[in-house]
Amino acid sequence: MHSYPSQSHSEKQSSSELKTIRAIIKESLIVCIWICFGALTIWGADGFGLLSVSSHVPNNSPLQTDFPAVYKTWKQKQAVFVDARSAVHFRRGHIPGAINIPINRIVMHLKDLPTDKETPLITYCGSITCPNAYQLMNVLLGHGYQDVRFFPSGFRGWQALGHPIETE
Amino acid sequence: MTIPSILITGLRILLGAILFFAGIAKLSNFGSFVINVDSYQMLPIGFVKPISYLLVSAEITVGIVLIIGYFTKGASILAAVLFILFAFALTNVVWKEIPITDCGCSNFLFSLLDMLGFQISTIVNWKTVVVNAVLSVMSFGVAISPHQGFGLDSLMTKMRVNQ
Repeated sequence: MHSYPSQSHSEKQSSSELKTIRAIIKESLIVCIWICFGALTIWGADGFGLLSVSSHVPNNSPLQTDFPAVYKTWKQKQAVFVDARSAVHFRRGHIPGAINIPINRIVMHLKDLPTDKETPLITYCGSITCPNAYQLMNVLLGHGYQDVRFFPSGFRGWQALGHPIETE
Repeated sequence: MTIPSILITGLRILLGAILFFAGIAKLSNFGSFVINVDSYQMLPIGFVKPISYLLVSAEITVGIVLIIGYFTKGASILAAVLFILFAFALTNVVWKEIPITDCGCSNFLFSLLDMLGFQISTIVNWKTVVVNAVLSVMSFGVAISPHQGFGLDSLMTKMRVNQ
């Protein structure tokens, strides 16, 4: 006889726990929808660009160089290629002859650059979505290098056209 | 208001402020944040920007919702999930020794801990992992706490009861 009240109490408790869990899930889903709206707003403010270079990289900068000029420059060794990706990515594959200056370790690697500030430099990073090459170009221009351009298609663009790559 | 309610309210606002200001800092320098996300080397290049949009939006939205105390439990769970994700990403960086100097997780809590001599800063190491894990536990604590604290949720409950 004593078990009935306690059973009903435990049933009530489990039902209230279930309600709480449902409420938490409902609240989380509503907040998730708001998050998606927020993300869409930010995406819109960034020009709805997923595969384009983000808004802080000008699309038609006179300082950019692309195919086939970049391949010709590389073939004729008219410029030093500077890879702005991390050391891990660089080791996996890079444009032959390039030097690696990861964007977050610029100061440590400045010594790897040619001492002659008039040497033409071409910076590149992973792909067209990656802004590192553009940022590295600006940093190198700030360090007094006079002929620096960036290669927006980056390593993936280079690889996609079947150009040779070098691994370490 | 009881002492546990005051504590829960304080904790909730602290967590909300951490997320909100971190989100605003990232949004104001979105280009650098995208580079930071990419440097974690966890996502294919096509996913880096969409995930960056979602992360910034999640931090700001969850931050605001926690500060005003609306949908507190759901938002706290999402905050816990966010901190777990950050801790997981940081663990991956420390474990694989990926060369990242800036974790992209600067917020006023990190600055405060730095000022108190904990030398957290934005350098990726086990301390940053621990801080995010602790924040995740705190968020989960707010979510499962029976005390509602003071906020829009409690105001609306009171209004419903009065009606």
